[in-house]
Amino acid sequence: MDASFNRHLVQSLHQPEFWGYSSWLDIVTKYRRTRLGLIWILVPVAVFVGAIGSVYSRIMGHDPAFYIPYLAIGFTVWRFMVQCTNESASILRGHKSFIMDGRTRLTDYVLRSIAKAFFYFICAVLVIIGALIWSPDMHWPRIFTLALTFPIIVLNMAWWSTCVAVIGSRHADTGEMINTALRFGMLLTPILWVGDRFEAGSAFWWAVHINPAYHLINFVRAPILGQAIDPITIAYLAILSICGWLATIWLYRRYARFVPLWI
Amino acid sequence: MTAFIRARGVGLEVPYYVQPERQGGSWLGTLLSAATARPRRHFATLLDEITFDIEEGDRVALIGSNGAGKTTLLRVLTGAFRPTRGSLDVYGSRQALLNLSLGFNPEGTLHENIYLRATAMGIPAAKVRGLVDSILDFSELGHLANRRLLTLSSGQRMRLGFAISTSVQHDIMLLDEWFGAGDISFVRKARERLVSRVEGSKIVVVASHNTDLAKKLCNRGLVIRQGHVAFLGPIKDALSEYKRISEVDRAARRAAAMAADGEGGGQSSIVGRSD
Repeated sequence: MDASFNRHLVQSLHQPEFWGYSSWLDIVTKYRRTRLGLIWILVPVAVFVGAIGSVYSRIMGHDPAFYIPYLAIGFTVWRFMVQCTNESASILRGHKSFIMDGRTRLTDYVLRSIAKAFFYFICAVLVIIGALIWSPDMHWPRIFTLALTFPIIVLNMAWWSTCVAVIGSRHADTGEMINTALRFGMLLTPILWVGDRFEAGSAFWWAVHINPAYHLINFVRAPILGQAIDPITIAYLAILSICGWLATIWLYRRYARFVPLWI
Repeated sequence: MTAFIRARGVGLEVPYYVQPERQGGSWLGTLLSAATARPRRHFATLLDEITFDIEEGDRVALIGSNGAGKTTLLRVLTGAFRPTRGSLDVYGSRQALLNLSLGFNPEGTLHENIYLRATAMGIPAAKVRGLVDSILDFSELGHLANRRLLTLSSGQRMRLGFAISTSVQHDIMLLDEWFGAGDISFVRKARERLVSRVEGSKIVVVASHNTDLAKKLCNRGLVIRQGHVAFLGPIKDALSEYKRISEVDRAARRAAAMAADGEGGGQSSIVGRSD
């Protein structure tokens, strides 16, 4: 029988022991030798949001009470997506010995990279909550909208990471290409700057609105900041999720069986 | 349920990449071409028209010279490689003992690595807890349980890998070559456990050059030659068939070398025994 993305994903979710444990072990062992331990997961985000936030709010002319939470949410969601993507590009090659032993359910490895990024994200949420409490303009309980919005991000990362993993096992260029794209992507996506100031229909407006990362981030960010989600974003994400999922089903059925040969 | 492996006309064709070769040139040219040359894609048929039935109770030795396709066939049987042609049906839980010391997290402790490898084998976490002590016991590494894995020697890692991989009894066991690392007492112990696991398994397939082990463990032999099944039958017949085939091949190679040498006056490039 051909490998089915949906069936494998469901099986993987039913047996979380391996991918859950191995991603946890990866994180724990990484920080074991350090003195501060798991606190190091928080430090880069907190420093970035604190330092860049206070400097850029002046440069951009925004009120820090708005800008720092804005940056904190955008940056952590962006970081989650980057970690999923980067990790996935080499995950199958990295698990060659498992795959060669006949564990060819590739979704296990993809979920492993998502689980790892998700753990980092959960830690970073503390920084967001900190920023929301600090800011006089914000209500921190709005963070709970994450429970509704974030699953959509995870859903999209599931198909996206699978595609990246399968293509990455065939072409070693994938990792490099994605690295390059993500480096510019951070600057091109409204994370450091606020995206809705362009006139609808202008070239800049299109440049912002064609970017899937903008919609994914905006979908999570707007409700926490107390804004309504743009209907365009909802429509865009609906189409993105469905098309991406269908494309992945096709890709997985067609190419997953070649992965052991490629690696 | 009875375990069985049924292969019908199984073929495996794989792409492989070759760096184009450039003759002569300076060392700088060689370096540059190594950096810029694009590898070319070729296809190789590793297995062709493989048909056999392995029933419950069979202990099959895969016999063949280096590169004949033994490991590839094992990888097809583990499910890693999907056949490009034909059909393969495998019934029963499978455990492969192909690479014992891979798949560890070097920064994790022994304890953690046992969990990692055991859950990778699909053993539920609750069951792993009960296995940890016996695994540490068997590998004689109990006193190192909380040390990081990278502090272990390669022999110790192999012992741990062996202990984990053989901790559970499976229906079908797939083994690649007999391994020789570890000290004498451990090898003896490992051999005993392996024999008992082999006895407990419904089907065993082992790729081996070791004819003594093959005679001792197996009742059937599958001789592979250049990706084809050359013979399948009782182990003794299979071994003598393999011997005959290698002699034929050797003679053919010698003849080819003689022909290449022209008058045959030059020194022969074929060394008497090749495997």
